Amino acid sequence: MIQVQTPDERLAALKKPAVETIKKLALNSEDCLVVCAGFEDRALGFLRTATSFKTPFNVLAIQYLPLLKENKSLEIRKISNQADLILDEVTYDREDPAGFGVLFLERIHAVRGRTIIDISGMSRLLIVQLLVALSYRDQGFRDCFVAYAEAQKYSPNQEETEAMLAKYDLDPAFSILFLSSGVFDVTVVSELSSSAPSSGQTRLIVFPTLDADQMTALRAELQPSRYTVIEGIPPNPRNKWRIGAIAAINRLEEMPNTERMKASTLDYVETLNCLLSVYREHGIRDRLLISPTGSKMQAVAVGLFKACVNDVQIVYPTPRGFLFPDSYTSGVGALHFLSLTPFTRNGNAS
Amino acid sequence: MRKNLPDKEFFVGKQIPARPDVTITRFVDSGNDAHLFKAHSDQLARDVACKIIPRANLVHGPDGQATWRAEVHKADALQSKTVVKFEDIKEWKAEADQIDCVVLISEFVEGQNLRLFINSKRAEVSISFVMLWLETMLNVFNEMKLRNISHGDIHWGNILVEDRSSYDLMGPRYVFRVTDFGVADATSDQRFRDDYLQLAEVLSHLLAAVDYQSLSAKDKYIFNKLRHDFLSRHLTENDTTRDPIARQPDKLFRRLKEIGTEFEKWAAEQPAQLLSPFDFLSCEQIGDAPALLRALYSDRFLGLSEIESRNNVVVTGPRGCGKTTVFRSLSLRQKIRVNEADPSEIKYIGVYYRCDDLYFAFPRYRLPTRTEAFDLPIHFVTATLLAELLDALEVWGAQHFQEEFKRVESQAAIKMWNVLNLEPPHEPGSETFKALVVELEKQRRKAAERQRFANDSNRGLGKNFGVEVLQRACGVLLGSFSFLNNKPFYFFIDDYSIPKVTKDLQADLNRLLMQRTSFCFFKLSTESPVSFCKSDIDEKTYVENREFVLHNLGLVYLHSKPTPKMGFIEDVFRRRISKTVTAFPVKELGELIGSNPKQNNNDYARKIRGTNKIQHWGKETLCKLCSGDIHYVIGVVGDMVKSAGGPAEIEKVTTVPRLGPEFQNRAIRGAAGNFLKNLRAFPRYGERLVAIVESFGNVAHSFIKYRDSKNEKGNPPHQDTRIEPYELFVLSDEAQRLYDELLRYSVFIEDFRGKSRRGKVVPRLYLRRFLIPHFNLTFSMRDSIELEPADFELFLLDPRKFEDTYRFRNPQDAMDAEEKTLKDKPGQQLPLELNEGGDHDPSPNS
Repeated sequence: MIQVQTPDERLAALKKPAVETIKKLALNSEDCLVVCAGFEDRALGFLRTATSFKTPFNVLAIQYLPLLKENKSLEIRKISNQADLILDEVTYDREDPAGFGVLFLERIHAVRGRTIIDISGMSRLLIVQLLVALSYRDQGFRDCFVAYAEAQKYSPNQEETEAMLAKYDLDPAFSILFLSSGVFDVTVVSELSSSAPSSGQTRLIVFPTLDADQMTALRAELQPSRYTVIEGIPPNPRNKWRIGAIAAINRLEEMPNTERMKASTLDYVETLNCLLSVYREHGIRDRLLISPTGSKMQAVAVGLFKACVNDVQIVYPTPRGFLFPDSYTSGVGALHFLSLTPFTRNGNAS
Repeated sequence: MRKNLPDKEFFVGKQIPARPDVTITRFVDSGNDAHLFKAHSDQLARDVACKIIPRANLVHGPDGQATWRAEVHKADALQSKTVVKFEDIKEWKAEADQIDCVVLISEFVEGQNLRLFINSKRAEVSISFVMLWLETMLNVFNEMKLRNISHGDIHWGNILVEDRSSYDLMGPRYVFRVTDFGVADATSDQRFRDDYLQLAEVLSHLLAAVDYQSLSAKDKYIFNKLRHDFLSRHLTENDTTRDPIARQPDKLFRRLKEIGTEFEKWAAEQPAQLLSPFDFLSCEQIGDAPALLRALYSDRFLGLSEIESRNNVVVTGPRGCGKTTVFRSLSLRQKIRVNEADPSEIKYIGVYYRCDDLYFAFPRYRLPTRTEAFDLPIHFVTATLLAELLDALEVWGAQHFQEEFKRVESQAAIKMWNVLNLEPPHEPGSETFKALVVELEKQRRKAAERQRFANDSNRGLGKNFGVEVLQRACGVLLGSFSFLNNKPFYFFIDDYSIPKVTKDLQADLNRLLMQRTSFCFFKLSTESPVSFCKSDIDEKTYVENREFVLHNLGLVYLHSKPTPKMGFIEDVFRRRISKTVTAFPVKELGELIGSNPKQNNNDYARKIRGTNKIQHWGKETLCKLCSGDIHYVIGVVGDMVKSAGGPAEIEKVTTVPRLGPEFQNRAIRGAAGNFLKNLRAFPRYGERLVAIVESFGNVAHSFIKYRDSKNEKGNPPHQDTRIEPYELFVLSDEAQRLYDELLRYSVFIEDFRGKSRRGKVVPRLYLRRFLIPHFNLTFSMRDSIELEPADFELFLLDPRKFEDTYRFRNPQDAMDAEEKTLKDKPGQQLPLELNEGGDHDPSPNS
């Protein structure tokens, strides 16, 4: 049988590497750890464990603008200084993120060893930007890895959420705000845009969160014709209550023209499979807009998907601020590691 | 495996011994059994091709007969001009050099074979190229079948892309040719390959070269049909009981020709259905469902004639007021898809374009530092509009003017290439609209990619279309096709709104979209009057009613007489109810929510003052709630039905209205609250907008409670649903941004018609009508809250302070405020009643 594959089919056929859970990460002097000076404890999880081996390595620290006092910049500098690491810093403006991928590639151009992107403290849009930028290189994703630290505790808890939902049931005009407050803008950057010929209707692929404002802003600004909602399944069964809570907060039952899917928040392959299925089913008729608002590993899936299938559009509701940065998440939980090398052929073929 | 092939250098520069007029000039290629050379014939005074095959590679009969000769001559029976036939067969013997070959002489085809073409011009392999190639091949296969001839060795090396420009003035410049008929059978290496399987293999090479992700929806559809139907089935199946059109080139050819039309049907057949009359509240939700769009589109839409006038029109109005529905419905594409494109009914050629496409390609656009980059957006939009126009015209032309279109297309295409100042691709089919569309889509992509480097002086920006190209291209079309006589082009540009389409981007594009000619008109829809930039980068200011007509649908609905407005709303519901797939208990809006014509705003205001809330119900109320935002009207009736228990419960009610006033009132108030909640979540300014409108609502409510209208009989309560500044204001940047956002989301509707008490032309701001019940106000349009510019600024920047200043807590507050005003500004009253003409309350019984 003679077959011609489209880029999504090549990606679907690819044997995807599994996410490994690791105890520690050893780096050498040719490796580069890309960390983000976010405000969560886990932003430093990999950096701390890697320095325990006493071998110096390179660190590229991404500093956020607008600056939050809770950001870990000073700690990154301190750890790097104490462990004799070679620290380089680059600034990422959340409110004007266009072109950051090119800047990032320039900074890692000289890396001879592995490039490990620690996404634990990164914004979802930044994760997508970095992965897509890597795919532009001649060597694609070769020797690139994603590192991800879970948190020990995620806010809000079930009681807090149920209390908010009860208020919401009494007064539909009540806004539930847990983590972020409002939306600064629906961000579109040209490097994550598609200039494929426009089709008549748009489909928003969205990962609902506890902050309904994000979905509201996306719906108001983009006015999509159709929706695919990918609901996240937390890996820890104790957090399963979140699925129903998020659906209630976002009133998913009432959304018109919506197909609903479910995917693990940790196993990126499930999200990738959802995206491939949506592309296969709707990619011709609909202009696909993907908003990587889900978990960070789901953002990895979106980044890999965009790197291989470029006729989709990334849109992102950038939060205006964070209500309680110091209690967004706390602690450093399990460490996960993912090799991106297998995506090289596919990514570059597209 | 190559075998027996002599040194190719031996032949170059030599004459063929048996044809001394033919001199071998250069080597072209080698196959397994032969060399191919270009040669020149003095006798024919043209080039010829010479295939030189070692005799040892030729097939002979058992007794040494030259059976190969018959095979080579098989192709002589074919009449197709696609087939390259051998003109002569000669021997070439040179014993001293151990040469014993046969020379097959044919015409020399100027051009590349498909293998070289794909490898060197991969970007030019488009779906239309593949389709034309397959059509050509199936046409040849048809004759082969009739004459019982097989090729035996079809591959991408012996299919040629011929350039005929050196001798042919008439026909298409590029055509496909097929060579080497019979050669496989003539050579000893007998690889009797199946022609269809080989055709499939070449098709797979071509499809693999197509950049799938850059294709339009139509081409993606065709790509998949070629892949799944032709490659995996029709061409590779040899059992006709499994596939009735396998091995039937005539049927395969017809099937291939059907795919384009099939796409149009597929695109029109989205299974979008109304399960309830309240589904698909906006046109965006309807999506690509032409039949549903047609069914729900009401030509009683207020303001339709202005949109269809031969003017450049800027249409504005609240979200969900039907701008998109009208724009899409008026496009030729939509009319084709709903079979309403009969030429007698088509008064203009409408092209619909939605600007989110522009927003994704040019996000947060700022005018580049390099002037040569200014035309990148013009290039993008021109390419996009022309691609859509040509594609729609091709479909329409093929449906209604087949003969003329076929006759004229090639010449029109050549002129279009000239206007675009682009080199047509060096491939068959370049003189067609399909090829133009493919190229224009490429140009779009290029413009978007170049924009990323617009400020990088190290990057070239290529040639870009100027602002005149679209008009010139339209001129070519008008001049080429008689069926376009007196049919101007209307470009419906939807959602051309700041900030998505930034002010800089609009200023750049206005050079194109504000042009005025007798045959091209631009209809721009924009969210609010302030989301449209009235100038361009050449500092030209566009003046309303000179360069364009501003058509504010919010105002049209606000000031409309009740009858046409009611007629439209009832028609919308009638259409929706009749198109609902599950039976709905009523047929008319009136039956559902009843009629409540005896409404008196002064009585209502007194009720409010007496702490009684008004119960809002009836179709007249629904009409008053509508500021053009028809999606709200539909949604709120949907909420009423839902709160009453759904259609099944309504079915049980036998009296009119089926929906009791309490359900109606609750839904009306709830919808306003919901709007404010969503407004709060809107990017950047959401919360501040809510604070502003709430402060207005609270102040206006306190006026109803404690202040009387002085110049009305009976001193009714003061009823304010609008703001009127005394003077034209100049706001600070921050206040202006908030003002613009209020208009953008139509929290207030701006009306410049009329003068302030001080005789100044100022904008009046009307509160969005459906927010009136939420703040417990009346629909009266008599009174205004009048503000000095500084107070207006305060209102925007610090609504809480504004409310503290203006809100009356008791009747004494109101009296004190008036006395203070009289003292400060003798001759004036605050709040002041509107006293000029031209304003009216459209409610019939107020």
